[in-house]
Amino acid sequence: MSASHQLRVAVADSPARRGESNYVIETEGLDLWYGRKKALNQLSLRIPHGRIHAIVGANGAGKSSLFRILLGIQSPSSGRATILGHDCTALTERERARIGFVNEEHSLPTWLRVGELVSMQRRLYPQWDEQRYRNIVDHFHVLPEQRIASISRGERAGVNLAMGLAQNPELLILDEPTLGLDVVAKRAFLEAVLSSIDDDDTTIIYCSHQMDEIERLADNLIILERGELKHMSPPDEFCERVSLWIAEFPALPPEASRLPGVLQVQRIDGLFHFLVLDQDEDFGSRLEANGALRHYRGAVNLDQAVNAFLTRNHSVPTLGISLQ
Amino acid sequence: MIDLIRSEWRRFRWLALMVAACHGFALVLLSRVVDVPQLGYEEQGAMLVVYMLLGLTLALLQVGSYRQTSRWLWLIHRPLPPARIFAALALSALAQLSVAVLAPLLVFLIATDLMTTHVLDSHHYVSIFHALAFTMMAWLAGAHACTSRHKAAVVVLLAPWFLALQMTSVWWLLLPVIACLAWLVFIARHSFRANRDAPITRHSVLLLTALPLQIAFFLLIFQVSKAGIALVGLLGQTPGRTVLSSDPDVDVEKMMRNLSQAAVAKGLEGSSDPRAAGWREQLPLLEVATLSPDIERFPVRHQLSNIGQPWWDDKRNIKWTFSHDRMQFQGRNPTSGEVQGWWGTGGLGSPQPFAEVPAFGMTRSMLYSIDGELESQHELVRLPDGEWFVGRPVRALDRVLLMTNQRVLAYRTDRAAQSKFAPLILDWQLPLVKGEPIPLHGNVVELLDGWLVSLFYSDDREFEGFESLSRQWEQVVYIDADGKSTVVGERRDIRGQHVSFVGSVIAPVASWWVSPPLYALLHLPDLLNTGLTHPPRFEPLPTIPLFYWLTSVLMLFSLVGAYFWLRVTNACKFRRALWLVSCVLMGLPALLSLICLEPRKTPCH
Repeated sequence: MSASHQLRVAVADSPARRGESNYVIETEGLDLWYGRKKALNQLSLRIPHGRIHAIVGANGAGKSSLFRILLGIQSPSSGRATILGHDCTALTERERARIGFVNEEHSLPTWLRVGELVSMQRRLYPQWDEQRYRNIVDHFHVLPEQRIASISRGERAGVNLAMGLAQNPELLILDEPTLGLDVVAKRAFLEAVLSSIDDDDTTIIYCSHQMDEIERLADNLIILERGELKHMSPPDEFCERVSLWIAEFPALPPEASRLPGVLQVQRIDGLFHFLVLDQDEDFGSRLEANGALRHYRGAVNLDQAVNAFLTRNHSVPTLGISLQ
Repeated sequence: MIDLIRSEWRRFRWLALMVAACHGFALVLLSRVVDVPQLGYEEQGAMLVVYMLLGLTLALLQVGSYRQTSRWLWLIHRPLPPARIFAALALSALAQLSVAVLAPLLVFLIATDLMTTHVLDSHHYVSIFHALAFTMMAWLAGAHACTSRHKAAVVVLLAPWFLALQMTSVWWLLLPVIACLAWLVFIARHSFRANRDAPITRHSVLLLTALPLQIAFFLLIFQVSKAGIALVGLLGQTPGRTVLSSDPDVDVEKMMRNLSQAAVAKGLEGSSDPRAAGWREQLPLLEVATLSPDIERFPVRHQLSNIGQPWWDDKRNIKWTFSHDRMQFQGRNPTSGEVQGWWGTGGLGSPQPFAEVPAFGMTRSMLYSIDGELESQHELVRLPDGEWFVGRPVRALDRVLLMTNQRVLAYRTDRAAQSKFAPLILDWQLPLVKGEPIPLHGNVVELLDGWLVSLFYSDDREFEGFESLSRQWEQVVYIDADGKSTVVGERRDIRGQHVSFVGSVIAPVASWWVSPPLYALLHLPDLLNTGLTHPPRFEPLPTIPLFYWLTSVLMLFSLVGAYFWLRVTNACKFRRALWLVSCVLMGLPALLSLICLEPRKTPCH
């Protein structure tokens, strides 16, 4: 499965039929203050059913705060938020049964064995899908008799994901689930996610800093910055908005203010790489007008695009030179 | 839910078993040195504190570990109502505490009962359930603190501690203990919700959560004020305390030795009686007997712990321990463990049980004497209904001097009687001043033609640390050879004498001035159970204008503080009104509970 997921066709048990909202998550004018710091700023967000939605943002962008509000463990300072059509501040056990959550720390009861934990969860969720659990957990080679305390972080992530998906939730929130996993575990995790959602009606909210993961998984990209919604579209569309221009200048390039939409400038092997937002072919002419000896357009991947977008206001560009 | 109980049980089962083993070992060790079931209230109180600390520690380990957001989500985000999740945690804690606290105690008691001849009554078995109940209360308070927005919420534990731990029969005690346990369950369960920082929405829940907090703050404020005074005292200052002498040339030790004589002499200073001057001259040469109300209450049948400690017959090596079930003393040879018989009101072998639990060689209304040679018991004095002893007998001046809640009594032995254990003959009696609390202490002097009795009245038991501010006064009464009493001297509003008082039996109760309604509330059990413990602990409010002013200022301060705090909260008008009324009535403790329970909006709004 790739980013070309099809939007799900309405099924018999669709939210619309149940008279619920068409959005799994809806927020309106959501504000959240921590003392004098604003974590969410008038966040209005509508996430539709049935796709993988990636939420990205720098640290402190408000992703975890948003999840805390959505899961009803924190109240917003103002605004409202609903999840599966229900007010987040008053989630009942019925709604919670429809929402899965896998966190970055994979906090599981370390005093139990895997089998004990799973049988506990199995009894808790009537719609438990044992086959699905086995399919996923097989990726991680975890045995039921193993103690949770003794398995690796990657294996714990696998068990956590397997339990989250086996609950057959309508909405599964994955909050940086691959954080701290090694390459092998990360790969197993992604494969497990991909294999499980192939023919499934679960909406997944995936929060990560790993753009390669998002590129593989996400149908929809949501960028948060300082608690505000900055962008929401399929990842391809976002990549199309960001373009890379490589130019050679006899000395220093022109000041960024003289060029429109510049997100980032880097100097690599004597050439200046301009990552720009919402610019067409005219940008090449502008480079020429500003003294470029030669220029051409390069390919941009999601990682570059998102990084450039998120670091556009930084005074020091990540790898290159100062815009001055 | 069963799964969650099992899971939490698995989590702490080894710890519970280890604590149980240590607990059992400690009980066995202790039983080699002392008779554990017969320990006094201080020792058993200390054991209870240890058990409660265990409960609190378990709560901090168990519920506290879920304070971390990710763990909290793992616990709370499941298709179970929070009440059932909380119930699962509480039941697993109950199981663990039963293993760690109840089981070793029960095994110990059963083993003591079956394998030894130690006295063991039904109340001992009930007591261990009380121990478990208080341990569970501590767990609930800890759980409440872990799931509340303010960690200070842990102080709610103080409220049931003071309300439930009453000196009454363990059977009657079940009522307040169960009530307090239910109250804490209610509070802890309602603080256990997904959003721990959200304000409490229901007014009834808020009221029941705020009240124990206020009681606890009431107690804390007073303790802090006392600690402050003690600290100032360490720095060499004595605000509010009487300074006996600041003159370096005065021999304080000598003055203290003759304090009783000096007290009577000072009481006679303003006397208009022509004999007063002569009495004052005689006083330094006369022996003075001092009386004090050193018994705050007598034990009642089946009460927790043992106020009346066992007594020893050294000659025969017998330890006499009172059995509440049989209302008789059991004699036991501590070396061989052999039972030497039972002691009733007539002595050894007497089948007649005691009507009341004896302590210090007396019951609440009867003084008796024991003939060690013949191992018999004789009634010496019996008080009428409604009157009880407030102090132990003082044998001095060839008399037996007794203080009751109504009189000072002087008895002499009947020299004409055949037995030296014949009932005593009343020599004279002096009624106490009506409307005044029981005197702090009294001095009795025998003159050639009568007696002088000096009594100090004061309400300063409620003013620990502020004795010199209390309105103490002294009355000196002359009792002639016929027993007729005449007031011969009075000193009002004196500052020169004070006697520090030990406070209540379990722990000192905060003074009324911190919050009069909370003071009354804390004494409610005493007022209700007058037939179960004796005498009641409640004291009338003192009439010192300074403290009325202080109370008024504190109430006003609380009202103003509450007004400014509530201005930046989301509380509705009705709730604001409730808080303001509460603060003006309850004073500072209500303001502190408001700060704990009603979150403020962030300043940037």
